[in-house]
Amino acid sequence: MNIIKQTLIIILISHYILFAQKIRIYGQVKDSLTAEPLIGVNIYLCDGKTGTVSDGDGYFYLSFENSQSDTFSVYFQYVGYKTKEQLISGTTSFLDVDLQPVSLELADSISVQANRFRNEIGLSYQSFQPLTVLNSAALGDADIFRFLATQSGISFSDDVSNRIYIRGMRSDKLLILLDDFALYNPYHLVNISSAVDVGSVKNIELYKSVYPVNQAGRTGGMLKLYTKQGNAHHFNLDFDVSLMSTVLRLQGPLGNASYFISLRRTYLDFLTKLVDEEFPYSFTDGVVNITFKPGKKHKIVLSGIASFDEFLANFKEHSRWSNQAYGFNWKYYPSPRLYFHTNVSYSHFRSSYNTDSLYTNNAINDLSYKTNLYYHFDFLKTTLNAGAAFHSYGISFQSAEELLEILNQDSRVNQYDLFINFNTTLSGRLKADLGLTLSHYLRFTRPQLLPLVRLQYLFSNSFKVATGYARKAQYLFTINNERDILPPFNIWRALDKDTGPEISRQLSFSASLKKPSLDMDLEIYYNFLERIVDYNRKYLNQEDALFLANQGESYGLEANLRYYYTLFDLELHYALSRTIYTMYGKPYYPSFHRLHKFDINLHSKSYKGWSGSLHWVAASGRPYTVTKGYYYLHHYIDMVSPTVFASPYYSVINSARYPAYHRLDLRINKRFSGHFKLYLNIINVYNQKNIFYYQFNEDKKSASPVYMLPFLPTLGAEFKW
Amino acid sequence: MMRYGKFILLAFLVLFVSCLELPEDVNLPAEKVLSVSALLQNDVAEQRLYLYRGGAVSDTSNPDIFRVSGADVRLSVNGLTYNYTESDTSKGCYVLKNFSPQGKTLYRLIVNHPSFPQIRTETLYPAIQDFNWSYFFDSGGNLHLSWRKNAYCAGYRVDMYQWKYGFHNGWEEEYFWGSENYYFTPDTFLIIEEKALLHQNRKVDLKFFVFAVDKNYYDYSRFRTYFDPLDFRLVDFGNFSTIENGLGYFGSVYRDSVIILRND
Repeated sequence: MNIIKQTLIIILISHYILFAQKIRIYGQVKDSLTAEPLIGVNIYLCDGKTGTVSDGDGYFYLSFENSQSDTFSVYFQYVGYKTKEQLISGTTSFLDVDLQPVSLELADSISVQANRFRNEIGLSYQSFQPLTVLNSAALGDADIFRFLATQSGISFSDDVSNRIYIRGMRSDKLLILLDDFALYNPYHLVNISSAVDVGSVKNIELYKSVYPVNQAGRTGGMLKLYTKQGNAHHFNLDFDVSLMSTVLRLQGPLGNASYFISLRRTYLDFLTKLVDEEFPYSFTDGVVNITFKPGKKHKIVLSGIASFDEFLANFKEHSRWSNQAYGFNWKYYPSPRLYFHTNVSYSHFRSSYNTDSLYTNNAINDLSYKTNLYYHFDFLKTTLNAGAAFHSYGISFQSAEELLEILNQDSRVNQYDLFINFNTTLSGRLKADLGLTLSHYLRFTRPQLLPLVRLQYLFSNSFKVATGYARKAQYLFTINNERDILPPFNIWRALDKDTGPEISRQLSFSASLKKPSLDMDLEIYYNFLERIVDYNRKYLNQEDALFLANQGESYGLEANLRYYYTLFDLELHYALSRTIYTMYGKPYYPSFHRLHKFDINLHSKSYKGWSGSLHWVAASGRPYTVTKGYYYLHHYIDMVSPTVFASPYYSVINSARYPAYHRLDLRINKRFSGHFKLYLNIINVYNQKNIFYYQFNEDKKSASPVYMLPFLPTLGAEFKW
Repeated sequence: MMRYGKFILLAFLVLFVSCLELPEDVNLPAEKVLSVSALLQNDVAEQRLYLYRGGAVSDTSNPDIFRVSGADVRLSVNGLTYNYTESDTSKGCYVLKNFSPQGKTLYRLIVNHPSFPQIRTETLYPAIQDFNWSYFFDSGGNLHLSWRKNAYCAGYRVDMYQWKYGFHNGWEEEYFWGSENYYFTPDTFLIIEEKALLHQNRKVDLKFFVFAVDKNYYDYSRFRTYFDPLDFRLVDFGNFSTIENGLGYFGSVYRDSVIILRND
């Protein structure tokens, strides 16, 4: 009897093996109106287990066994677009899929994040549509960093600066990429907004930690921005006027290519000239993308960003800074299974601050080359990604200021990376990412081994858990610790043998539940900062070390709930975190640390042209150092007779907290036609007096609170042709 | 999902409790802290030491009321102990008369006061040597001044300079040259343009000082420059102290000078 059973089983298995068809589908997903490739589109079969997402160029590859029917349906789902069902027959199919966007009116209210398909490992990862950012309440211009600060696990320091701190990491630990090239200080004045116009971006991807091995160089997370490639069918023009600036965006076909150009400039300096006044500050920035397709298998993208800031306090004191980054991307698809991506880029930040007698010049440039190979194996549905990268960093800082000249430097240093990653399906429910980077920074004799492991288990079509571990290294850092200072003084520095590389170990675990109108996820993370380099705050003479290698750790919990209702989308985010750094062997909270942070984001759907969004945040106050009093010391300025000076007497660093922070922001849009829209932003609706900092009074012995932004309404308009 | 509810709740509670702790502020209230300003000098009739207590933020700005009197201040060197005495005319000012510090010598200071923790500190007096001055005026009338670098005991090297110029008559009407009248510099020479050496279009006599200080006072001077809370700083807050259980410094200085007579 047993033999019969075994024989039957073998026959059945053989039948399955022999007659199940290996199906391969691949292709590209684009916007039907503009031919803009769509990133992160969910592509799946009706079984709910088989699927993939489109890559940074809208391409996808999916292979699976099919033994049930000759034809089957593949679904293409993307937020802001109508879900498309495509019937497939045959074993290998190339699909050129156009997705139709929802109406313009609805487009005012899109807020849902483009979450990756549940079969993808979405650990510590989020993807956002720029339209969501553009339609969120903003101070002046919509800003990517300020928007990200409305998400869980992302802290901020104050209302003025848009610096973000992800999972207890300083802002320089975030790798900021625009079309695969790194940006160094992409901020305008006092970090009030980013140098990247949100309207020039087609997709925003954020890895809070455990980011893929084909990028390296930061111990925290990674922010990837993709510029728009432009409308390949028609010419389009957008014009947007906000309190801060005006922006013009042009896009259209260019023979076999397409282009996208944006130009943004502040205008207060022009307006004030009309009334014979001087406004001392202005910025200009622009993004350009030209995409060619020399053949069906080739794609060349030339893109770049340039921003220029100028602050002229008077004729004797002026400051200028600029970001310029340009990239050449060649993408080659010799077969459905194989894909090459080669990137050459040059990124440059430069600043100068001059008075009539003193100067400070600060610059960093990064010349990079990277090549990636992707190959799809049928075995375990594995995707291999391997490649190499080279970076040459030039860093220069020259100052005649007594306080800064100790930091003078002029150096160039190279970094070589080799990486390999296997994304594999170990079973129908278990997926894994196994990766390794070998990173060699030439100031250190030993290369760094940086492994990455990510696992995901699908309990059901709606519930999955994932976990990941990564070791990351960083060789460049900014010396300003947690202090937000003006971009011209945000000094990048190359690490040397005295301190060694910065190293972090990242661990995270997530559980997520996805229902048709409800997403819930919970993530627990632990970041161990094995080595983090600080400017020596007690540096007084040349025998003191200028930089110190310290340690830190950050751990916490993030809970997110997203509810998609007919009239609105609601997001609730809560983050509990603890971040401790050490300095001189003593622990302290970094100044951006917030124990609790709770965010509510509400985006209404459009009704008769009206739409809106709301953001309320409540968070623990930031730590700060208390001025407990003052003390007197005699100072022999002329070395003959002493003068008495009062000095502030401080508590242990950051041992107190400001009162809890909370603020409500509102945005209301009214579209009058397909071409014209008015919007109202209201910052701090109920005029909460959040303490920015305590300002020392002139006597240097007492301090008074300085408050952050008050109730601040602003109007803006948008034109589209 | 509900199966994991207990685990999630437990994880949340553990995290919540662990996150509540704040780093302890171990710094004493300002009123409980003594600050010391003391400099041993080679060319003074009496060595002086000033004691203050700290003040709360809301306290008055008159420094004199924070002077601390009634302290027992002792200086010990090579097995000998000297007592500072509190000045009769200046409360909180302690003096040691007829005391000349010696080069390359370690001086220890102990301050006892019933209301404050005991203070212990020390200074290593700079090695005393000839600065080996030399100077000349070039054809343009510019002054070239040079001196030998001063090396310190304990291998610590620092140079600190000051110059003044004044009228010839007994230096009573000294006039500071330039906006800064002292420099920390590793240089051993100075070139001063002729026009800077004139006062009301007259050539004047010049007097230059060069100092050798110990590490304590050098660090304090740097701190004074770096840590001004109203200025742009790279660094975070810190309380300056080279002494145990208190604030301030106990430093030492050796001073030498050269006079250049060129009165019209």
